[in-house]
Amino acid sequence: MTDCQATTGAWLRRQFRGQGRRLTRAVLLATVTALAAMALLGLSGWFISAAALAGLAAGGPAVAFNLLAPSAGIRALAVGRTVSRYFERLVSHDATFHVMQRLRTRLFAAILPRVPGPLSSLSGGHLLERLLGDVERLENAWLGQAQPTLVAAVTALALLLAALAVAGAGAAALLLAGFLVMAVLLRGLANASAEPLAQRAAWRERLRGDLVQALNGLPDVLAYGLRPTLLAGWRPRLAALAGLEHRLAWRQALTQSLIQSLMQALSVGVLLLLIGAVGDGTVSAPLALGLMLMVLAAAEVTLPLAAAWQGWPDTRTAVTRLDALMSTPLPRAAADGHAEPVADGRLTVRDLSFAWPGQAPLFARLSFHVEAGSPLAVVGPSGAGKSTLLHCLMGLQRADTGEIRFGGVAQGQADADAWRRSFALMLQQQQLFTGSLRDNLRLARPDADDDRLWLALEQARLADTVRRRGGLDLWIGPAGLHLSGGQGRRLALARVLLRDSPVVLLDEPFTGLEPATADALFETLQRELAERVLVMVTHDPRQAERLPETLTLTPAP
Amino acid sequence: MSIDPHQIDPATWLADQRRHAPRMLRRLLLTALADAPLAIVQAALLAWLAANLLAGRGGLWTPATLLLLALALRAVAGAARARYSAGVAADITRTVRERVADALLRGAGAALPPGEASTALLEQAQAVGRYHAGFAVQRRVASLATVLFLVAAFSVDWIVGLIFLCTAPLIPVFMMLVGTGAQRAADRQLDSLRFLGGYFLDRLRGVLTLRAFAREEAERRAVDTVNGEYRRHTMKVLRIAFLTSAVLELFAALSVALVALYVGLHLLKLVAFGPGPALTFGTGLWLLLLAPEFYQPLRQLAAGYHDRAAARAAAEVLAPLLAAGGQTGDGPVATAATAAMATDAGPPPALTLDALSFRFADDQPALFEQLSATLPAGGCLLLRGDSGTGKSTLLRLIAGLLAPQQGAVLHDGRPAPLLTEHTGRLAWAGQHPWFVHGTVAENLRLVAPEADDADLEAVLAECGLTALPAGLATPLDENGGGLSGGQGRRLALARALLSPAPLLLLDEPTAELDPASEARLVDALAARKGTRTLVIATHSPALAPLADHSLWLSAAPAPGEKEETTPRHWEAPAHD
Repeated sequence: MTDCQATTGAWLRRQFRGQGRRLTRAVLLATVTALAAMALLGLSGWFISAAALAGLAAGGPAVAFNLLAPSAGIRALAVGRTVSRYFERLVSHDATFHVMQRLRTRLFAAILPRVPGPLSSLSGGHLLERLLGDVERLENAWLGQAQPTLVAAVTALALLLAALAVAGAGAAALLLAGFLVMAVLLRGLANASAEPLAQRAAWRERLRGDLVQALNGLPDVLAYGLRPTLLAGWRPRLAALAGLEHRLAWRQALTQSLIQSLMQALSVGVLLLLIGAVGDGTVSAPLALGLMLMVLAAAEVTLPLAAAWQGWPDTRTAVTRLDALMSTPLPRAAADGHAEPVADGRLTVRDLSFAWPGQAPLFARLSFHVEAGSPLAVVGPSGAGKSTLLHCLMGLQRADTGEIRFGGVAQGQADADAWRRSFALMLQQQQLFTGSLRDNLRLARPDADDDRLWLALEQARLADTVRRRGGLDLWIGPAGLHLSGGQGRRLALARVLLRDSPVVLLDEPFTGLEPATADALFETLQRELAERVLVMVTHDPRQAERLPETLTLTPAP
Repeated sequence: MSIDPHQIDPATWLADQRRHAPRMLRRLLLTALADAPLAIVQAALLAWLAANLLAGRGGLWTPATLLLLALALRAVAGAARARYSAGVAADITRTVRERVADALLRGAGAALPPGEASTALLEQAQAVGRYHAGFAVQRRVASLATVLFLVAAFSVDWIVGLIFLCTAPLIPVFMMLVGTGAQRAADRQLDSLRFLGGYFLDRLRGVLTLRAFAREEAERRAVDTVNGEYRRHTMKVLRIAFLTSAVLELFAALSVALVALYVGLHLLKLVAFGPGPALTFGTGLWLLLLAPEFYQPLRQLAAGYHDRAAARAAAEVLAPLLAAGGQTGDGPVATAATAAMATDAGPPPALTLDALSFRFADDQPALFEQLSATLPAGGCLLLRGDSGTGKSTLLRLIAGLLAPQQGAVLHDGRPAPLLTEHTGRLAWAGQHPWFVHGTVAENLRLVAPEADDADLEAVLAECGLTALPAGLATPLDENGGGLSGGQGRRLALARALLSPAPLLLLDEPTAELDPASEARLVDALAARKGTRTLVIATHSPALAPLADHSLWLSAAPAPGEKEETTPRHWEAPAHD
């Protein structure tokens, strides 16, 4: 476990590197804030007790008392404390947010080349939770955990030194013992919470999954009267979850309350310990009172500690998850040479094999060739590797063995960008991004002007619809455009046409379409792509029959 | 089912959730209220002890013993408070969660995406519990404690009392500022977080497109820009929040300073105003000790503001959800009614769609407008159209799981009964089936308890399910585990065919079937016409011969596209 903690710490330090100066400044400011608060109360206590003594001694107005220094100090501390607190929050948040911005971008850049690939098994929602939820959890690693702990440690040290200087070893030893008890309490809290926190996460995840499943199947549940059964099954699980959350909250609140009480007891303890010393005059009474009040004021520093330490196991799991994601080995690039293919209208595949790690081969020793003008249909049941074959051809996925040649170049020797320029892939689902329609089309060809975009839309028979809806500036929100299946497929086709690539790969272009819509689209495809090398994946034998060549993939046994 | 949310006020609803843990809340309030008087007593004892010490008098041990006793009492009260607050949070959270689960399974919030529904069940219900255990109690404690501290201060010295009083009313003002600031910050933060989330999800979903178009580097830069904007925006919002809370803290610090200076000057006999002899070192120290305690409850309240914001946001979602879920009776009552369900078959209903209009949310285009159709009893209605045109949604409207904004679904001329109250009236086979934990046979017998094994085998064969791993004894879990996705959907179909329910709603029943199996299923469906009313959503032309009626759905137009000449929905004559 210490090993795991060490790696978590090292990982976090790596992420926060570069903001070191700002973070140091934040800790300094936070420490100044804490010390100022303590000094304010301490100085105030010293001041009134010294004033009381002077007043008694003088018997009348104590004009001889040096009033200026303490009163100025008190006012300066009151204002300084607020100012340093304000800037501490500003600096620490700014530094942390810089780190999180960089971490999010790094994570995104790490995900991009690994999908499809080693991260394919993770859903979009899952990856989003890593990018937003986990990163936010790490935000707290500094703001809510590391910094309060550091500040508390520095404050404790300051108190110990002050006690040693003012009141001698006895008081310092008492404080030290108190702080050690607190450390043990916090450490115990973190250890005792690790297991329930993991369990809570697991139970929540399961409930979440089951709820989504039940809501999707709600018609079944209701139509067959299964609702009471379902609810009866959930009730104990909800109760168990609430019980677990109860235990966690109770432990945290109890630890915090104990630490608060301990701080108060320490301040009183210091005073009681000094009774003798004050009596025989070794320690002045105002100083003893000042020290007591400083300890009392230091209690504020301990307020965030229980939450910080209980959250530590969660931080550790978040780090483990992100680290696993970022250190997943990059798949070897399919094309990593320098040769540039020169379009020759002929795509050749020889002895191509592919298997997901640890699984039976999806396809083995596959050989075929496709000529421009003579499209190939790839058919086979779902799971036979049709889409993966397209990804291999495109170079998004590296085949295990075999060779793919186009334009006189084998894929392995080709320059990655040049190879991808030769191909265009039309996916099963329309993939639109938040932005204007123009942005979305230009993904396929960043340098295209509006005329070129309109030409592609005309070719895809979508120009009229787009014109009616507001042209290329049409804004596409996160929910996508309300296009029918057929129109969406035409938009994808427009992208492919924009790309002008000699090889076109189509993945199930007709899923979810009425036969009449599919036929119309099929005709457009054939007309516009007649001179390209065309490979079309379909599960529909009726569409496959219309293409001159057919390749059948059979599922792995 | 009416979606009219009864106009429940979320704030009222939130406050009302208190009733789920009344006794525990009372105890929590008592222990929490004990803190302020104990703090006052503790400060007084400490001041007494210090005064005796300073004066070099004896009699130190009485105040010291009492002080330690007060400390111990305060610690015990603190621990009890911790215990009760955790208990209140857990009790309220559990009850709210049970109700949310109940409401969701009654079809309330059917328009919520499942992800948001699970957030409502887990996180938002917990926010409500936390609010009652924390902020709501602290608010009452803070107001009472403030009064107590003021009384204590005024009883000794009216000037210190005035210092407290003058800063105290300012605190609620700043609290409000902090509160509205925090609320606004939370709202705007949530908006920009949502934007960031949408942006990422967009890119993650479209990752293949990005890679296929070689956009990795460009996207990495774009993501960093969006990220940076999010950071700047967050900082701008937080800066305001920090500034307002700094003012609050300044008041707390200044009042300590003012009290110390005033008391000090008084003890030096340098000020001539004020109560005079009443203010000694002991009482002066007592007042100084009270100063930080005086602001502590208020500062805790301010720190809890984000809990309140979270609970408010949760109430906005949960209150209408629970209102729509119609809290009629608590769960178990329904169990007895369902046992008789399977035999309650009855004659097939005639079905009428009467000018249905439906949209998922006000800001989304209508999926249907003024959609009408009639189907005689025992007939078959086919829903056709490209994906994304709302076939599955229309099935849910017919089933009574969603309510149209206008129009109605009629069975035999009467409004369709609520599916939540009336099981056994219809059978359903959709894309995401749900099963009970048990075997295939047990799942099938749910709808037909008297069927023997041969009946079950026959209906499985009709649906092309002959190769189950262990036949009728194949084990299943709730999520269909034990079967492949396609097999699960076909088992749901078999269950629907076996059920004696007079209305059958089927979503893409022949998807993934080979032509021979499809033909066999078409025969099976044809055999049920006459005794059942069938509604089938499909792309497959092979089902066309079954139809008495076909409804073609087309894509929703963008706003302002009304001039389109083709009618949005039209009824085609039957194919045969």
